[in-house]
Amino acid sequence: MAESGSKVVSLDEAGRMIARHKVISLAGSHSVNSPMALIRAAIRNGATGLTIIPPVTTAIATDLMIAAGCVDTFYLSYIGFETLGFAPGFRAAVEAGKLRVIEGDEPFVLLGTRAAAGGYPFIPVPAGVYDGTDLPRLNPMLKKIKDPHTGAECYAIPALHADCCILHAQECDELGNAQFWGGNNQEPDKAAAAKTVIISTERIVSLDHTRKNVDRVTLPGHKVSAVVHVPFGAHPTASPGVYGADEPHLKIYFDAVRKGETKTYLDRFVAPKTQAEYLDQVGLDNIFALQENA
Amino acid sequence: MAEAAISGSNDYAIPELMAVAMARTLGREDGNLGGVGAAAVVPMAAARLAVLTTAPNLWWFCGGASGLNPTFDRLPRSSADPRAAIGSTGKKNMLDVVDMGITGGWDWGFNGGLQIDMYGNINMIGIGTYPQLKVRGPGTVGTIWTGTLRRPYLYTMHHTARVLVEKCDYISGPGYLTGGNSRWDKVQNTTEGPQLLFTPLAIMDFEPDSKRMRLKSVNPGYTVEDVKKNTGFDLVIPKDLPNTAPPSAEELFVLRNHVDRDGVLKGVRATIG
Repeated sequence: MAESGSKVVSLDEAGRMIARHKVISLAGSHSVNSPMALIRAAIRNGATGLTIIPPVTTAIATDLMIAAGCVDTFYLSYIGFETLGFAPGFRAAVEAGKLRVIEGDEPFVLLGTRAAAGGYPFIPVPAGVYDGTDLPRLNPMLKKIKDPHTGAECYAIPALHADCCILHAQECDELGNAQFWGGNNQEPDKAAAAKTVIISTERIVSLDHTRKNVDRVTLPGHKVSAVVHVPFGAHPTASPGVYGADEPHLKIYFDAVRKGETKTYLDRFVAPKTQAEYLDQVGLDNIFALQENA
Repeated sequence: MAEAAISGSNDYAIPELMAVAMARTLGREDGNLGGVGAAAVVPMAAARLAVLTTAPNLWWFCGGASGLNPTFDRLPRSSADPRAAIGSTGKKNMLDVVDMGITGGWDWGFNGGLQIDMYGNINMIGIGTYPQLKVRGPGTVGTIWTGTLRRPYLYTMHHTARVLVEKCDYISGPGYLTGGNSRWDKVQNTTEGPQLLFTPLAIMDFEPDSKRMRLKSVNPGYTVEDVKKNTGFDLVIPKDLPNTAPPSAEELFVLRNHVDRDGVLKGVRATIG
């Protein structure tokens, strides 16, 4: 029986919620803990003209949205597939002039998110952090100001607010009290900086389970709008403690997009309407094998 | 066209040699705190190997998985892989990492680039005219910290004149900027600037006054001519140039049995040309 105040919705409903928004933020690093099922659902539901505020490092989560043509503007810190190579969808979109990039970095995305989370209009950093680089020249959002107390020069990193934040949790109860295992804790600020927060989770746990494990609850649910139960919802990225990243699948994606065969990938892996149909495409034997590399 | 870099020996692969050379260097950082980030499988192996050989009291932070001093023995391909945090003694939030970047709290770190120039500046932004770049790079991420961390160490897995250029198209990580003391007109003066560059072919350092990149040792199997031919600017070439010492049997034993039991390094792509 559902808890009073349950926020549980279907994957398809979550996809429609995401697609109604313009500025989307997410967490998860590289090929770890990306809310992939939510992203696929948003693409199926016609998400378009999005602005993306990614985590400081990102790979297929955001590259897939770009390759699918959903993204207009991208706040960049790092996007890449590490040993596989450059992010193919991102690279093609920029080189074709189809994607607006805000040339940021680790502090720009992190502190911009912190500012938005805390209600600060901007966060100043010492000018020496950026003066030796081309970032202030390429990114007009990095504005030079004077410290009103000391007169020292600073760059003001603006608050980066999002409409909708999407996250993948290992455990979450129906009220949105979530556990994110592994990673580096970018989720709380990302959630606080957004109007709507949607969480997909490997398991929906009871409120009793949350109460018994409160030290492991990394995000209290009061700001969470919706919870979606999606086992293997981070696939093909890793879900810490549950399964490893699917490297052969990442390569299938990487090769398809690089060869201009994005549509083949989308038809096979994004079009399936339910997570069960998606897992059929991936193959249950492949999925179970990933549990050995959690 | 790029070709695979081959070591001068059947006993080890180039990425293994690079990891060993980096680990030896980290001996001078024993007791200090540093870290590795994205696309850093070779420096990750080096830091773990250093703890077991040259720097038992090294403090090191392992990228996206955010573990301090992990003790994995199966080298993950990415620092963000949760298994990269196995056996850590602590974890850092991303916000702590940025705070320490701003305050200059990192003693050492490894950084790479799409381009690296003769003064050790790094470009992760791209090549060509902004914004519709000819080659869009992956983004600046933490390369900005080469301007604040005390001793940056640089590396690339591709020794080619396309990566090692006279001048970066864009600077995302400041090295010695235009040489001499120009770096310290712009960045915090608590820093020492790039120390070394590790490539599949050689190890470079920087001439003390001009801050121009200088050849330090050539990896076994290659010659000074190979290095010159594949570098896009004139390196300072000292007389009596040594070869990089090949990995010892002990270093290889520790690397393969206690750091990289799956032989991940052997499969890492290292190229020249």
